[in-house]
Amino acid sequence: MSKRRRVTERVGVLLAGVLLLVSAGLGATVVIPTLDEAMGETTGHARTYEEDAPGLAGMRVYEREGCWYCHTQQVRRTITDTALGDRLEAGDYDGQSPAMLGLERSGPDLTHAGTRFPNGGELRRSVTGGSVHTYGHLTDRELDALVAYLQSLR
Amino acid sequence: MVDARGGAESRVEPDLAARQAAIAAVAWLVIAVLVHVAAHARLLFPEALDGVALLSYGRLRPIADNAFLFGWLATAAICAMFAIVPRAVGAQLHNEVLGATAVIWWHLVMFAGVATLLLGMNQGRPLAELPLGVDIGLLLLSLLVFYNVAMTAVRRNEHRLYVSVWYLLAAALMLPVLIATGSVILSGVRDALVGAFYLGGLEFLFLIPVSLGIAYYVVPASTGNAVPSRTLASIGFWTLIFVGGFTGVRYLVSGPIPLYLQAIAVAMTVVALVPVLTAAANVVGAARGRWDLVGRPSAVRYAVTSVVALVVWTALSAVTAVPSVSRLVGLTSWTAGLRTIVLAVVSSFAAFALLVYVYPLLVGRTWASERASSFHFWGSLAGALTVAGSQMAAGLVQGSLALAASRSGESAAGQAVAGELGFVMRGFHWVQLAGWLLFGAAQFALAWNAARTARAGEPVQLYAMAAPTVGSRA
Repeated sequence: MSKRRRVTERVGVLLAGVLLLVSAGLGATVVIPTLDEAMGETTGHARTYEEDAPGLAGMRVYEREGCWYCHTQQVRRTITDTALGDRLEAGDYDGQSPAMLGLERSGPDLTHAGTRFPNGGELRRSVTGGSVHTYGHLTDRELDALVAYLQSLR
Repeated sequence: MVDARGGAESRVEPDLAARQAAIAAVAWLVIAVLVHVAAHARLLFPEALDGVALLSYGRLRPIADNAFLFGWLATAAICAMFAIVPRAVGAQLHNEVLGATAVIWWHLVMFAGVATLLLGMNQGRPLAELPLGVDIGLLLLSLLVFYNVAMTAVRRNEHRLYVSVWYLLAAALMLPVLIATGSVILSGVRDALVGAFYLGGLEFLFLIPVSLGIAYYVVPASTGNAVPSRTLASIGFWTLIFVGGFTGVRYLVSGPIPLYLQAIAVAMTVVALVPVLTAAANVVGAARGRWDLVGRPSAVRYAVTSVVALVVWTALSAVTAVPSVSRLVGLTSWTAGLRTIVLAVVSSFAAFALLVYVYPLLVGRTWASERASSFHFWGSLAGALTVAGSQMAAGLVQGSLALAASRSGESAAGQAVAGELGFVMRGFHWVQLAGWLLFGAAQFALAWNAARTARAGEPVQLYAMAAPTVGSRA
């Protein structure tokens, strides 16, 4: 009987092999990059918030209401994203936990929402009068916090 | 039933846990589809019921996604582990009572998860929105499931481990690992990397292994054919497990991560075609000479559909990961379309294949209505492809408009308008709603047929079907 066959006939060895191979992927794509110094690079657009800052409360509203399902916060190294503003480096996201970069851009990218909408009133109207959302259940305080967060994205 | 520990007669009814999982999986499927319909309706009518937080899109969407993933697909996976592994190793599940208890608690924890999502307790990570307390509950229960399945395989009567057992054991091991990973929230891009690993792992280390584990069992068992090649099966299994941990980073291609990571992600997603094609060759090969089964409502038809969809999905994922393609369709609804294919076609059709094959064994009766079975297959396929096709078409339109706007030097505000697409996106949302309604109608037919089968199906002789011969001992 070959050695290969024995591996797939012994439960413990099979499971150990699975864990070993998966660890290789986890190490290469998560652990090693985390130790990479380049991950600390910033372009000066860092998003960090003080403990009681409205921006932090607004980030929680953004997280809770699932805004990140339809809006991204990443400008990619592609021609399609050139008009969206400066591209952010890894270090720029250091203050975001969780990092809501987004996977789908059904709505506009919000990486530089604060630059695009310097007027808070205009931003507020776009939140409450969008074509797919109105957020009528948010309190004024929550809306103010959300607008403050979006304006901090510059 | 002979038990694995030396022929003693088991006092616990065989398949108790698998039957509970099968029934609960169908119930979660119906719930998930209803919430998907409600979420899409919210996108089309944002002002209806405005002010009701519990019915906002941001609350309904995670419930729909998690009910589909952890309610329907994970429960169907547990059913596969509890029903297939014992049959493939020639022994009863190690501990039926423990299995049944884990299934019951799994659903109680999931209901708690739905409640927390309704209240807005969202972790902010795609498909890992459930809060930490719920994650811990699911983690402990998935460990119990893994223990039960692993012990069943350890105390087996068959000398060789059949291919399905490799895949289902690997999936049982990876489920708690992935739940734990999904609950780790870091900061910045490190958090995005963990999230990407989690997403890739869900696809390549849990959903696809379960789908292939089911296909490798039900096709040979239904056709009586041998799996053509054990060597091919072995190559496919180990390659899939190896590349699975690397593929998640493709979600961040061209993003704020080192370039070498992007190169790895693209390369590994392309390499993922190897295990998928080898498995497809084996599964389709096991259906040789019995193509009549694909022409009528049978487990083989669902399994072959799942495997063909898997090949298409993997090829599309590999192409999408390439930066020159990603710049056009990356971060658009195209991504959502690919996710719909892997969840609603690849994984769901494998789970349907399992149910079609194993449900009669669990309740001791044959399916009551062939017409309902036929409607279920075509309704599910047409509904899922309508949703996925509409999402992918919307993604192409989004990408093309963004590219045109960039080339013409339009401002960021112009890009923002291109992002929303106004009435065009609304049209796609209508099509997706229609797709979910059709898919949902098919699931109601499945639930109705399952309930009727349990009461009025033709009785079958369990001993004749309980231990189907797998054509090959591959």
